[in-house]
Amino acid sequence: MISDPISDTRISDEHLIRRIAGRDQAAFTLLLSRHIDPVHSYLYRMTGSRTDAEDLTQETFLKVWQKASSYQPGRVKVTTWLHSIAHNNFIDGYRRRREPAADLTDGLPDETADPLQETNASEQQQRLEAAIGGLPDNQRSALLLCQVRGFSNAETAGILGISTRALESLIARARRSLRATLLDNGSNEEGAG
Amino acid sequence: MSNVNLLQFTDLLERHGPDLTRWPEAVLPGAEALLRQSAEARELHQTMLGLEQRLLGLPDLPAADYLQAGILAELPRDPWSGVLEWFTSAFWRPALAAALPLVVGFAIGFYQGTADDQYLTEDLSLLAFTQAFEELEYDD
Repeated sequence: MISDPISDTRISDEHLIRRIAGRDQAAFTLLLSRHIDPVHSYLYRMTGSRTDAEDLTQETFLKVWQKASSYQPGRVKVTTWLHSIAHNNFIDGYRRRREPAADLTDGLPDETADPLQETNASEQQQRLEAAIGGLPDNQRSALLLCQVRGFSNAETAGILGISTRALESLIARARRSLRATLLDNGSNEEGAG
Repeated sequence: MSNVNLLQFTDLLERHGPDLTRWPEAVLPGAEALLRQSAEARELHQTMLGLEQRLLGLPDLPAADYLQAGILAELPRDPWSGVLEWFTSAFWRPALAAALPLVVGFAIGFYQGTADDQYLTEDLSLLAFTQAFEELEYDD
């Protein structure tokens, strides 16, 4: 039973997975609380829909419960393994029954106290979210995993099941497209102002 | 690759991002030299750096509290833990569990008792039959 919050931070994800393989629900609860937000964020930005992201997040963690014994420690990090499951769920389940993406900007947390700054930050953020949402799925997933989640090129290639070279091409196209979109938006706004 | 031109620099920037420590070592000296010499390369690098910082600054989109509770509720349950939970969830249930061996003992005792009575009746019948047979032989 895991109950001490101080020692909880010292328990590695790998150890938690071993305990989950032995059907330890407390270990699962701790792993879930550690990783639910990053996995949900990734899936929310991939689907553009909170409801779909929630469904896929649930499927992802239920697979973790079922397949914990198949995790091979030392081969990949637990976060990499979790995102692989999440990405495969997105590919297998969501893409087949896709509907038009909803507005991604609802439910974003406010992070600044100054109302003027808050407006600017939220506008910039909305523009960036929209530009990311406009990328093709494979470019968007490569960019989110590498740049937002901070995985290395090799780890991201592993999650997406492609070669590092193919990943570099995807991410190069994503960066180029994003830069062009944001520069266009910026110059349009300057022109309008 | 000793010299890096602007086209190659742009390609490397888009493939590996603005953090030069993530670039292949072989191209680093040429890329750093171009950054010193070319204002265009510096501007491109700055633009990409700004983009990366904005991407890194994107907040998590936190999951609603009900999602975590919902996932935990969906976990397949161990059937034995359900039995254990049933016994421990009300005060009279452990008493019932403790009384169960007593009930089983009574049942076995009752069955054994009935069986013994049956054997006794059979024995008496046999004895009576043997005695009657002996008396018949004696009469003859």
